[in-house]
Amino acid sequence: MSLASFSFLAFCIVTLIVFYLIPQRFQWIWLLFMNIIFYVNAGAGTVVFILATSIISWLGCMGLSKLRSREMVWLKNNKQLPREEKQREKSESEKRRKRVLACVLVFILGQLICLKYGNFLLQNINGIFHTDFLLLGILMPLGISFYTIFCIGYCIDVYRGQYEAQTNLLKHITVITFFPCITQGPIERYDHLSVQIFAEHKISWNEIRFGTWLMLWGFFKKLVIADSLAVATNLVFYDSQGKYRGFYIFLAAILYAVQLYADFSGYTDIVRGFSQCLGISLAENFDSPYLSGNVAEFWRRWHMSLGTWFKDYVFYSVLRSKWCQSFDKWSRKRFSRRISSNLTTTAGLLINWTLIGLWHGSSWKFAAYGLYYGLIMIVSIWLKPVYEKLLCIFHIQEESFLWRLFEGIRTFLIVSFGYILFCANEFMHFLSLVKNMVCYPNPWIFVNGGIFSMGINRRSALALAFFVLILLFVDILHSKGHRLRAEIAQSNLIFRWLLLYGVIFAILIFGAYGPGYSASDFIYQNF
Amino acid sequence: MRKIISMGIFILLGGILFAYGQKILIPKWNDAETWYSSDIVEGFYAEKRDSLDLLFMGSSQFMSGLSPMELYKRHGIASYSLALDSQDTVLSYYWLREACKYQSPKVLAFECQMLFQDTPSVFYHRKNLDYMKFSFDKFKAIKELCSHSPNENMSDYLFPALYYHTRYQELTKEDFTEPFKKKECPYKGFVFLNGQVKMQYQGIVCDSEDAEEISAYKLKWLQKILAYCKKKKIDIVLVKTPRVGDWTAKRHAAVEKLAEEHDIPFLDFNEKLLYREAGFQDYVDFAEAYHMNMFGALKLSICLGKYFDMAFTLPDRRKDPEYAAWDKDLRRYEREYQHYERTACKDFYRCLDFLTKKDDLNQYRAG
Repeated sequence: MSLASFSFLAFCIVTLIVFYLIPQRFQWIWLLFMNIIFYVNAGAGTVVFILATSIISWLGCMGLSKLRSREMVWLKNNKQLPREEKQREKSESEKRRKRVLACVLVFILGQLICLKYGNFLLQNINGIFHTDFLLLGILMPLGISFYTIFCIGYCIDVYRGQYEAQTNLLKHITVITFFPCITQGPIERYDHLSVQIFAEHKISWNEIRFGTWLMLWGFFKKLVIADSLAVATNLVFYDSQGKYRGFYIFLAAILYAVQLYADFSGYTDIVRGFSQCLGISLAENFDSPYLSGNVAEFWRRWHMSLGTWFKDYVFYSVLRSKWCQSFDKWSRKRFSRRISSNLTTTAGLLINWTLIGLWHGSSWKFAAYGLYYGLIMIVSIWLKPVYEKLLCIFHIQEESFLWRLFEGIRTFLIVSFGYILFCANEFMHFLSLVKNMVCYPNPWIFVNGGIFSMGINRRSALALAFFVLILLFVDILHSKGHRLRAEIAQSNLIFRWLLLYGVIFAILIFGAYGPGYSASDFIYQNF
Repeated sequence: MRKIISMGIFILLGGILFAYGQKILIPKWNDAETWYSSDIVEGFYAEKRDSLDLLFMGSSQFMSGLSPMELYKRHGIASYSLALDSQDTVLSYYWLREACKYQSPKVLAFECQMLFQDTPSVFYHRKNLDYMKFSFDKFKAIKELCSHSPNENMSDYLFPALYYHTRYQELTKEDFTEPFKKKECPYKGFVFLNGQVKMQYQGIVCDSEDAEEISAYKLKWLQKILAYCKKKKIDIVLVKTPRVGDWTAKRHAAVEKLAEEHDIPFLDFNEKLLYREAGFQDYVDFAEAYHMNMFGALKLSICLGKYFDMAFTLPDRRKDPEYAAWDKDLRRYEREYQHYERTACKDFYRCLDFLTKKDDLNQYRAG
């Protein structure tokens, strides 16, 4: 079921109506039922994988919780024992918990590796060792990357004792399979989501109104902007057999940046809006990312839930790991404090970004995509003193509008270039796109109407440009701290209705759906 | 309560805006290129209730091959051709039901070509359905079509704006004004074709004992038409207009068998005798192999008019004051006929004849 479809809309309406009609204590059971319907609809055969992940993580976390409470009880009962004895028990308990966590993670990650990266690994083994292993013909479960890291986060949190494990298996499955988040996130924190799902929800006019508005805005971004731009980007990147070169590729990369943002943030708005209608508040995933001044800031504002997850569970874990600590000690003996600190951070960033890249997909181009950002951040860390010196020499005011504009454009171009790698079929395709972009400069396409040969005619292009400007305007208002929905709700009725009708009719008229458009999935749904 | 009322008004207002937007976006099939499909349907709805005695249904063969105004002119029969481009049999059935909500026809003439033709493309389905008023029958027709073609969505038919929304790029002034114009179809569903293609056709000898099989699906819907006519006490006549190429003796035999089974008349104007008797000329009467032009239509209309006059007791409406508008339409039709006749004239001496006639028509083309 595509999220940008009437069937999904109908599904949401039915879910919502029944959710508020049944007694509040049964609301979560209804959600569990609808989660399963949604997931089975996406592919009945793959339900077994998400159920296996749910059951194993539930069992593991129950075990972790039991071990921790047993340790607490032991410590309480043996207060009189010497400190060393207590320490030994603690460390024994910690080891046992580590083993349980390792077992759970091996299973969950093993499943992800087999299903998502199995063929990638086999292809590489076949390529390197000239073997002839047959590729696996397994269907990838919907949202496997999302629910796997969600479960991993939950297990690590329980291991760290941040909160208690969920004792009810059905409730646990309800949280893992919560259908608005299952396909593309946001990657929630277990405790944040579960507390809300199991709370008893009363119908709230404001929640429903604000939720619906957010959904509308999401549909607008997806159908009016993202899918319309997809016509041009698909033509240039995939369907043209190298016909489009030079600035066509440059322009397509920029359009792809807008498309991906509208697509992914559109999806997030739809599911956040729907969850809000249910009285569940999901985490923000985007914070006007294209208004960032540098790449690190961009990633703090783009797909925020993924960035935070990797920072909390990978980057800091790597920095806190034994080998990283010993490497840090070793480097401090040999280099200055700044250099040794940079070296440790570099190692952490390389691992973190390679994993982020590979999380997106099972191919070297995704690893390269992650490394691309990792390397940019590493270079910026190492060159920071030079950069600061240059700013000083040229008397550049970092807070001035022009400088911030320059930084914003620079970051946008770096990110757009990265998207060529992101959307290329494979690494060689990326190289050929870059070669075609650089070697055949044709700036005249901007004046001779050539840009209208990318599948979007002049009229549509004008309309699209207008809508992209609206998107930019809304992002600027957001970044300035405006709470737009609250402000719209305060405005007069005529303005509010005009705005709503404007969005609804823009979706209906300018949306890329129906004949002439192939229904396109959300891009991140494939991860 | 205030919130519910305001939400209700919001939805109602939105619905009105949507309905108007839909009327703007929907294509206007009101020119020769599109065979005036929308005019024909809207013209039908504009007819006075219970004013039609005879209905024609089927595919474009009737649209260009039969002129209801000739029947009125010669016999006073009030008829209307609700045949539309590639009107599938299932749609003929639902159109018949729809027509009977507004009219009480005594006779239905059904063109048989679509019994042997594959299910037409979405484009033709849309031309048949988009201007039909919304009703439970329309809903059932849409459901039936969509259940048979996986690429078609019910929502696209129920809300045509969803299907035609990309037309915003090609909207003209006419798209905005057309919904407010008075609807009429003075030629009662007839489409003038004045092109002439010389064919080598003298009709066919229908002596085949083998009958081509009519698909179960088409047969099912034809039988529904027959049953509905029986229920409504409407006499039905099966007609096949002249068509060069794919109409065969086997097809004739199949329809003839069917007609015999149900004891209904079948007039096949491809049959050599009938073809000759109607006076068709293969170098004059065809616009192309599958469609007759206005000259062929005139001959077929004269012939069918005589038949309906003889076989059924259809009232002569010419002196009925209720039909004064039809007389006006007839004059308009005659003028239009002459105009098309002149523009189609390629014979030098006939052109000279036209020149000597005194009337208000001065546009013609000598080929």
